[in-house]
Amino acid sequence: VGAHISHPIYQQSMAQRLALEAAVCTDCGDVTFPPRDSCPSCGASDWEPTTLSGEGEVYSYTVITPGGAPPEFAEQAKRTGEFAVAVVELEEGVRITAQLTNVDPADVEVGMPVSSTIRRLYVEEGVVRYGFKFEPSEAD
Amino acid sequence: VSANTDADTTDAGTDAGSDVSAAGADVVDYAAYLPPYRLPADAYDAWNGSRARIDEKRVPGFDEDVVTMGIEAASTLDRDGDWHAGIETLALASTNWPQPGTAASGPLVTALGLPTDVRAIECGTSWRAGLEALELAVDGPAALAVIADHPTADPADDVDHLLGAGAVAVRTGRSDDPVARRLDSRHYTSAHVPGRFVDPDGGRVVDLSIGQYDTDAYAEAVGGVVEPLLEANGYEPADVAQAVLPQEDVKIAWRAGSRLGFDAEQMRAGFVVNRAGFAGAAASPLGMAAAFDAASPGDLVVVASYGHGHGATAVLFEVGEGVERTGAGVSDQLDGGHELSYTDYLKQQGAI
Repeated sequence: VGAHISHPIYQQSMAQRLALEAAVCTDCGDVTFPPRDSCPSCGASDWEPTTLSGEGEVYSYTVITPGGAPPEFAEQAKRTGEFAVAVVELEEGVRITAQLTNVDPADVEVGMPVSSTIRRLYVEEGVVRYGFKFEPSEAD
Repeated sequence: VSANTDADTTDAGTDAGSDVSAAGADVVDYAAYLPPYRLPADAYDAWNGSRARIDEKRVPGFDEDVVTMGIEAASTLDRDGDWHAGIETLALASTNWPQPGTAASGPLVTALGLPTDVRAIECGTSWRAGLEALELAVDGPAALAVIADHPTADPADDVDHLLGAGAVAVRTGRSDDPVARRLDSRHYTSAHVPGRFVDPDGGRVVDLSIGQYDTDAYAEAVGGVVEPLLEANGYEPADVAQAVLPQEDVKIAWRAGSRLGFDAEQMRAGFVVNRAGFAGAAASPLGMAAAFDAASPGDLVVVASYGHGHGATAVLFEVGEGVERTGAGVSDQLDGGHELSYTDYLKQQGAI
């Protein structure tokens, strides 16, 4: 399955990928990530940017085996074997899907406290792409 | 921890206690990052044993590079509130840039939320680059130095046994409560055929294995900065609490240290190469962070770095009371991490 993300699309999401920039609705206060034009909770269209804490816990997860990795992560899977991808629920209530790093997939558990960390995601047309992953909070 | 920096404090002009340049900045906070994987020396038993005279080295994960390691180190600084107010300069250093030809400071500025009008300067031709960035940061008035490196070699080359990785972040500014204050520094630069260099095809470190030649070059450059630095400030080697010398060769570093008049006690705390491996431009800064961790207010710390080709820089710090409110936890980080097998190391590096 191809999952190609073009350079302009990646560029548009740079602040989200590197600094966890989210939107807080000025009407109902709900936090949305990634930011959207209108609040999914109340439909209001006014929001302000906010930076998420990056602290949360594993809400759910799966383990990707090398054969199942999306093409941009094929090299990673070849070099390091299977890896975990989790839905992380942040302190702000937002749920984010991201890879887990610095952890053996066999040690991942639902409810495990995790923190965001910036990592190399993959290389696209020779360009290194960075973005957030999560790691066990006690890792640092 | 509160950094307790007051960027608006005006310098009263006289400070009876020390020799501080009015234009300089103090170290107000510092942090270090060691990547999670450890490769013990006995992993090299497959090669008739390690040639590096170290116990183990650190290896970055597949998804790490000097940009991510630098972000990790800087993220560990105290970043409460308006932490970056007043930071005018971002000084980066490395010899293994992930995307040559582009500004490595770009992702760092965005990830750390630094102002986009920060003066970003990137140092990185020799392993002295870390101290070059540090010198810029303590020139002031307020700066962030981020030094991260991961020199690599062909695994078939003995020099690979030594090469590790790590990152250090140092924030500087005016403070009544500094972690450390630069008293003075000395530099030496001259043409010299390098015993080690980075191969432009592939970016791997090449070691010509000319031991005595390298020893002499190192002694000339490092001795040429450390001795006058101490003399000019009226100190003897015995007055120094911690001496952090360039650590790209364990034997050369210890021999040079003892020739300069330092004993094992003065060199031990900052000798992180023994467990982190040689982290290139970040090696001496990591040693400095470990030395600050072990230091007490009033201690003198000398940090020196060597660049093949060649040149050296040595900086003399006086540790302040601020060292008791913060720390980089280098020793604890060295005790953490996950052990990597030699085959997993080769596979992760793309060597097999």
